[in-house]
Amino acid sequence: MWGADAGRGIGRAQANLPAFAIAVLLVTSTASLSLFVVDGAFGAVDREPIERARAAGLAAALVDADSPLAERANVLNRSRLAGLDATFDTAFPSASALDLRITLDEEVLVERGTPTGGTSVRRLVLVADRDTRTIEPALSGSEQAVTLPRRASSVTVALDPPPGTTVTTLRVNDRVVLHDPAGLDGQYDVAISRFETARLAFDVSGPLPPGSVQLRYRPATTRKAVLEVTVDA
Amino acid sequence: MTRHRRVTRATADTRAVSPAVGKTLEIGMGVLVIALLTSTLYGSVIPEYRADAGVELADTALASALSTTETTVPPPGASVSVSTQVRLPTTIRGSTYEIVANGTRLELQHPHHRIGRTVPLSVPSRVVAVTGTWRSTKPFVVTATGNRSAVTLHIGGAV
Amino acid sequence: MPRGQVSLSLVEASVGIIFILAVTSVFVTGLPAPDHRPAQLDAYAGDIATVLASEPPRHADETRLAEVAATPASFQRERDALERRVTRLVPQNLLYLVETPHGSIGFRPPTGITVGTATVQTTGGPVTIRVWYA
Repeated sequence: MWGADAGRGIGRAQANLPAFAIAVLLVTSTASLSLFVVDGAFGAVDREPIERARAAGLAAALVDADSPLAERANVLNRSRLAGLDATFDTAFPSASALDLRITLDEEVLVERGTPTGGTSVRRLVLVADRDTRTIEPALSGSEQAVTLPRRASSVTVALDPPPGTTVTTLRVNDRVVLHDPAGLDGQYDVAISRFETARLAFDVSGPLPPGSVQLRYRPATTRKAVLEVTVDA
Repeated sequence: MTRHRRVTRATADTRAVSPAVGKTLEIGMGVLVIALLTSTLYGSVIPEYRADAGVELADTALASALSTTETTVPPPGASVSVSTQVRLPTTIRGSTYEIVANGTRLELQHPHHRIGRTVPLSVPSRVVAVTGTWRSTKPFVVTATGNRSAVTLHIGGAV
Repeated sequence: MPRGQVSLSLVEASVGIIFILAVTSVFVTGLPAPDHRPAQLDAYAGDIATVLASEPPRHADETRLAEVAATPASFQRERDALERRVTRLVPQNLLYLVETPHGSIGFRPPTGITVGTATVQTTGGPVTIRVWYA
């Protein structure tokens, strides 16, 4: 019995040390292999938070009421958008060193550098298309009125009454906007409300042949679009 | 009978190393290996990784400070004082840091040579000045004062 | 009698290896990236609210949102037009809910999903717009 126990002790004592050495080798090699993996994970330091913050700041600068493109908050003028590429560097100097791309409904407006792999921020906007409409109404009677077919924020009234006829007052929706007892003659810019249809009423003494009153206004036709700003730092 | 005793004696003599000494050698080897690993890791590998993590954290903190500053602008035509606050980490890689505003840029200053970043601010032209220095031991507060045509932003600790 | 014994050192070594691999696996899979969708959804909701708040309504002389929030009668009258307008405004991949003091227009947001919110104060009360990815 003593001999058998001693025999097993011999085997363990002699084999233990190499087994321990092999075990240590295994653990150390695993540790160094995992260091390679960790190195790869840490090596890829991305600048994503800064990219996202700058893209959001630039998108807000484009879309806010302060923006050179905007007529009011979130409503951008179409002709100014089309010319953005030329005016971008002077209008937005804080974006000078960036690789960026600005698209409207997937159509590229401005591209600087190579913004592949950057982060994007999207905003919803309305694109306002303003063309000038002119109407020359034929007015007759003593209280003559014409209603503008589209809403606008201002209307330019050009009055050229024939001699012998005086236009004393112009009312918009029963509110007096122009009044001259000596007679209105010439071009006047009248501000009206965007929110209501404008009915222009003239107080006239005498006939007004067609062509003596001309109204020019710029209604906005809007369509929705998505403005996307991509920044790669 | 004589053979039996010889076998026993030979067995006792052919042991290479006694278990006690063997275990001691194992312990010694183990301690050596652990010391080697620890010194290698803490000497070169870990400080680099801490700096990498610090760089990313500094980016996140500075981005948060930037967006908070840029959105603390009162609407045009308003003559009000606006103040916003955001939580930023107190330390990056174990040390406190500062964010300095000078005119058009926000700069994060940190004692470590790899951590530190400057970003330009994009604010409307109504904003005439952005001033202030913020230490990370205080909450980050941005205050906008002024009238409808000239707004000043100031970053700093809690009011 | 002879028995195959697994060397204790190898068992200990495998335990150590499992510990090391557990820590390494965290770096392999990576931590989840911070979610940027709430900020984007809030921007969408704010844009929709801004556009609706400054749009002319069909009838009276207030903005579209103010008219919808004014009285239950005006809500019933304006809700179809508002629903059409918001449906045309919202991008294809989003669903919306417009809450007024007199009722709601849109879809119900599913629970547990990220929702962007924007609130407009009108003369009739607050109007809240919520959007989420469909």
